[in-house]
Parts: sequence; structure tokens; C-alpha cells
Amino acid sequence: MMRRRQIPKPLGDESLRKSNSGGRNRRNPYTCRGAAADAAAGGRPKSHSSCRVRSLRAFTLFTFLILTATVCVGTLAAETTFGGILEPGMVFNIPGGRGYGESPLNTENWMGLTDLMFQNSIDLKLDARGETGFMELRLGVKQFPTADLFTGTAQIAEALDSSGNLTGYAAAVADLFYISDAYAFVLDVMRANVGWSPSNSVKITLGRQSFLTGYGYGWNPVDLVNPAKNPTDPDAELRGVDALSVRLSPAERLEVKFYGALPSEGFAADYEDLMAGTEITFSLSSAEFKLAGLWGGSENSDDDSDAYPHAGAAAFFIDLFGVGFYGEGAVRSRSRRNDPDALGGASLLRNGPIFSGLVGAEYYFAAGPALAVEYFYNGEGWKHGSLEDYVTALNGGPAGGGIGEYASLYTPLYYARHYILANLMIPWYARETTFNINAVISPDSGALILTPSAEINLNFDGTLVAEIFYSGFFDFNESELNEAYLAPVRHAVSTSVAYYF
Amino acid sequence: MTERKILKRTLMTAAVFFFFNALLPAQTEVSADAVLKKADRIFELDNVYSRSTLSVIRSGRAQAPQEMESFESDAADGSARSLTVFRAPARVRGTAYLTVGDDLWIRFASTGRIRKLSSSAKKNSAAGSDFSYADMGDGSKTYSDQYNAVLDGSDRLDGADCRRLVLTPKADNRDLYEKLVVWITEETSLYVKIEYWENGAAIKTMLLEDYRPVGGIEYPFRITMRSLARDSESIIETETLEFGSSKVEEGLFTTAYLEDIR
Repeated sequence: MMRRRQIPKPLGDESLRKSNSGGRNRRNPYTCRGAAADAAAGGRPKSHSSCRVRSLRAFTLFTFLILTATVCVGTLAAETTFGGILEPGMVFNIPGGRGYGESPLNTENWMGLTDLMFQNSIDLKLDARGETGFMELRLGVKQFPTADLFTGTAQIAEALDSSGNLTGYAAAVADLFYISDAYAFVLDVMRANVGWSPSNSVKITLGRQSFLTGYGYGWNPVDLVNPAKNPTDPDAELRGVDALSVRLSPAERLEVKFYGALPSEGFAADYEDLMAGTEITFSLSSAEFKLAGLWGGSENSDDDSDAYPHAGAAAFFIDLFGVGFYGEGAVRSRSRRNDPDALGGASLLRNGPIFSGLVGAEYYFAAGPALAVEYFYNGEGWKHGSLEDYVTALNGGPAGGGIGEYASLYTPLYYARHYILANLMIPWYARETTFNINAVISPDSGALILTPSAEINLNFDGTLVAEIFYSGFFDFNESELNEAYLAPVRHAVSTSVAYYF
Repeated sequence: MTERKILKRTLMTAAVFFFFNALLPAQTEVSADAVLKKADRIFELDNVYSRSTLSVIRSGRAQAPQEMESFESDAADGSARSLTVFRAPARVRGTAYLTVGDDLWIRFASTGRIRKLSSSAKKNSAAGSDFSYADMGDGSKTYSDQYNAVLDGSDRLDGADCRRLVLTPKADNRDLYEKLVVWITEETSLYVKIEYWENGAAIKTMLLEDYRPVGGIEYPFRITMRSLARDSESIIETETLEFGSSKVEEGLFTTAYLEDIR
């Protein structure tokens, strides 16, 4: 008999229960708009007069330091690995009865949506590890619809211009950009950090790094500093946080992490914007617990938004008879997502305490399928009155705040107060295919978001993987208050073929 | 000899016969346990490092081989610990599983996230293969720890005389199979075949081959699991195996180390 050993799940099935696109964002960018990552608070850091990016000097310095460290550690490292994913893809948008202009968020198709979108991306990963030093670099190269963006911007400007002087401006801009390359590629530094680990129980990391934590499949209230996940694509890699962290492991089942971090926008901030946090994880047999806290920089009465309010959180995972029960809860000093102003003015920062919580259960069937069910209470979501105020503002058009700031407050799956998620992963081992069915219901918003997908391994090497992903927003009540109703594109199918190297 | 003496002798003979006859089943059970314990010595190895390849063949079609690096060690309290890291193919490189006792954690390669999983995951197919985590997992728990054994006969397999034992769980444990039938060589006390039973039927068979001496113990470098319910088999071929390995460090079996895996 062998010395028994653990073997992970099937090829490409990084999660035991769900299909995985290798960290790429496979959703329709218009149905989920920039995602939950920007979502909870429109992605904005504390916004007061002194909290802005100052200059490119800091950026240059930061980049230089990272690159220098990369070269040094990479050269000296005993072990260096390089890999990545090249993934050409295409999105097929399905227009509604009135084209793409049905949503108040995209009246007259401000966004310039079209039926077909190319969505090509390259993810590059470089890791190096020496005796005690290490570095991690993750770069995402993604196609960006430059022409659509500029043309849409011109359309907005033309619509806002009451003098008529800009008539024809949008068409001219469109001509200019569409005759050239309609797409540009943007480089996103997802992670870039170096570190020192003088022993197994101490690790110090400097640079952009991941703080992903929690047990929830779709949402993680206990994750206080990391960008929020998109519940329809929870395995997508998220951009890290610029921070200095110290991780200590004083005992086998105890881990403590301290960190100081910068807001996720820009490369510079004032001292008062600096944040500090901690996370403690400890486990017992069949149970694990987390405690987390964040001091999110100074809070002033004249702040008009705050992406990092002070917060405390706790989470647990308990295994009972093979079923995993988990929960997370967080209390914030104020909401990361502003409320709409009933009078149509600028959105309003809501002061707390604000509670958000999640409970869920997961089970893995012996034949392979895995099921997770969750309920998420989103304390930062809007109640009925706020939903009405929001739609009223949107229907006011550009002059009424229907675009710009208010558009950024549309945060699908972080929009209302209550959400229920069910996720079923079904592997078909004989064909090296994984099906994933994800459904989210928002009873108070009246929306159902369905996102089934399939991943198929195409070759013997396991390097080529095709994926098809459907994203559907359904409304129960045909109400403008429904977050599905507001989706600029309600139905879309995306296809891609990824090459892993 | 009087009738009385004859009767007395007869009664004594009968008593002796019944006495030894009564002992016979107990002797058989002890013998089965001894056979099982001897074969189980392979579990007693500690600080094991290995590199191996898992190949799955379904309906005659081979799937991408998966390369794994594994570390195993028992904790001070005796609980089993193991860490398995996927090295290839690229798609799963960096995926890792950590078990400490009955607890299981996973590292997602795409995001680097570390998450605890429910124990039902152990019954899942491991790596899409015909092995389950229960087949692979429980580390230092031996069959003789978990099952009662009864000798069921003997067979000749691959030219070797083997004892056939039937194993049934000692306690009601959902992670254990309803029944195992194992074949152990009479001469060398090595497992050569294990049949797994659920719901009254054999569901899969494990074959253990290519025994090689490592650290004073014979170890199977090729293990095949064949499904009896579908046209599928999975093969683990060990390329490197070290007992008492210096590569197995205490700090490996922590969630903190999972974060450091690349």
C-alpha cells in the first residue's frame, strides 16, 4: 500500500467547486460595469480636497523601485518562474427591444455599445524566490475600447451643450477614432511586490499585494481593504493593494497580519490617507475563525465619499458532518457607497455604523458536483426610497446627474440590501469539461442574475482551454428600481480560448 | 478400561476439541490483524517527500498528465499532515492542498487566495481521477487503525500467493468505505490489490505494482485505480521518493506557507 497522499482537483479546476477562468475577467463589462471592484463605493477613496494624486514623480519612483527590485531579486533568485495566459475572446451583446438605449444609464446609447466586442487579454506572471527574499509580479494587458470611450464622451459633451456649438462634435470624434485603431491596450499592474522572509514564521512584503480573505463565494464582508469581488465571477484576479505588510505565524494554527496601506487610486496620497489594518486567523479542528480591523485614514466631516471607512469584522467556518457552514460580518463607520440625493444634487455620504453580513453553506458530492448557497445582507445597499431617488436622478438625463457620478453608483450585486446566491459546479471528467451555474436573486431589487458557463480543455497538454459564458439580467417586476432593468446590456455571451504557458 | 473411564476420556476429548474449536475464530482474527498490521508498516514512514505524475485515461483517451510535489509528516500529536503542490500543467501550476488532521485548505493559483474547505470535499474525485481524497488522504491512519480484518481465503495474483482479507469499518465513519477486500502477498506482506465496496457492490479496484526498496521498505512506484462503474483508470507514477527527507520542514504545513507557494 502506498504512502497515501493528497491529490488536487481536476485540471483547471482550481477551486474544488467552481470553474475558473484563471483570473481573467470574463463578464460583460457593460452588464457589470467595472465590477464590484469599483462597486461598493464607486471605487473612490476618501474624497476631500487634499486626497488626490500629486504628480507623476511618485509614480516614476515607485516604478523604478519595483523594476530595480525585480531585476535584483530575479537575478539572484534560486528559483524563478514565468508564466501567463493569452486569451483572445469575443463578447456577443444581445440588444433589447429598443437597442442598447433602454437603460437610463445608457440613454441614447451614451456608451456606444455594439453587438460584438473583442476582448483580448494577456496575463503575465513572474515570480522569483531566493534564500529569504522573493518577488511577485503580475501584469494584465487588456484591450480597451478607446474609440468607444472617446466617442461616448463626445456624445455626452454634445448632449450637455445647450448652445448648439458642439453639434456634429460626436460624429467628428467618432470619425477620427474609428479610422485609426479602435482599440488600445492598457497595462495593469495587478501585483508587484518584494519581500523578506527571514524564517517560516515571519514574512514582510512591500508593494502591490493581495489581501483577499474570507469564506464567502460571492461576497466577503470581512475583506476590508481589498477590492470587492464580482459575485458573478468571484475567481477573477483583482488588482492588489499598495501596502507594507508583516505576517507572523507564532503557532501552527495561528496567523497574524499587520499592514499599512495606501488608497487604491493613484500612487500618492497624503499622510492622513494612510491606512492601517490587521487580520488574525486561528483554527481548531474542523473550524476556523478570522478577526479583522481597518483604520481607514482620518475621517473628516467634509468628506464627500469614503472607500475605506474604519471597520471591524469577524468570520467563521465550521465543518459539521461534511457540510461547511460559514459566516462573515463587518461594521463600518460609514458607507463606502454614497446615497442619491432626493433633490438631485451630489450624492451623499452616509454615516454609520453600517453592518454587512453573510451566511452560507457548501457541500461537495462524492460524484464530483459541489454546491454553495449564500445569503448576503448588504448594509451599504439602498432601500426603496433611495432606489426611487436614484432612478429619478438618472431619468433627469445628463443635466440631472443621469451620467457621471450617479452612473458610477450603479453597482450590480452590491446595489440592493438582500441577495441570495446559489452556485453549482458540475465536472464532466470524461470530457475534461466543467459546468458552472451561478444564480443570484435580489428579492428587494427584484432581479435575477444568471451566469452559467462551461470550460472545456481542448488539448492533451492541458494548455488550451475554451470557455463560453452567458450573463443574463432578468427583472421580476419591470420596475425601474430593479437593478436588472438598469443594466445597459441585459444579455450577453462571451467566448474565449485561453492558452496557458 | 471401564465404561466410566471411557466416558471420562471422551468427555475430556470433547472438551478439548470444543475449547480449541472455540479459540479457532479468535486465532483467525488475530492472524488477519497481524497480516494487515504487517502490510500497514508502509504507513509508518514519516517525513515523506515525493514527485509524481497522475495520468487519467477515460474511454481509452489519455488526459493531460498532472505533476505533483508532495510533502507528508505527522504532527507532534500524531495527526497526519500533507501538502501537495501542482507543478504542471501550467493551468494548474501553483494550486495546492494542505491537510492537517481532518482539515483541508486550498490555494487557488489564479488569485493566490487561501480557503478552508468542508470535509465533504475529501470524498470528491481527486484531480478528476478515480482516486478520492479518502483514498489518498488520511496520512498516518492505517487500515488496521480503521478497519476490522477477517481472513477470507487466498488467491494467486501476478504469480504470488496472496491472502485475501475482508475489512469492515471499526466505527461509523462517513469517510470510510463500506467494505474493502485486500490481497496481501504471503511471503512479503505487500498490498497488491484493494477492492472498494459501497452499497453492496465493488466500485473500484486499486493495483499496487513496481515495488522498490526505499529506506528499508518496499514501496509501490506505480498505483492504478480502475473504476468498475465506468471505463476509466488513473495511474500515479512516482518519480522521486524520499523518507526522512530534509525537504519536509515543519513550516510547510501551515496556511502561511500556502501563501508563499508560486
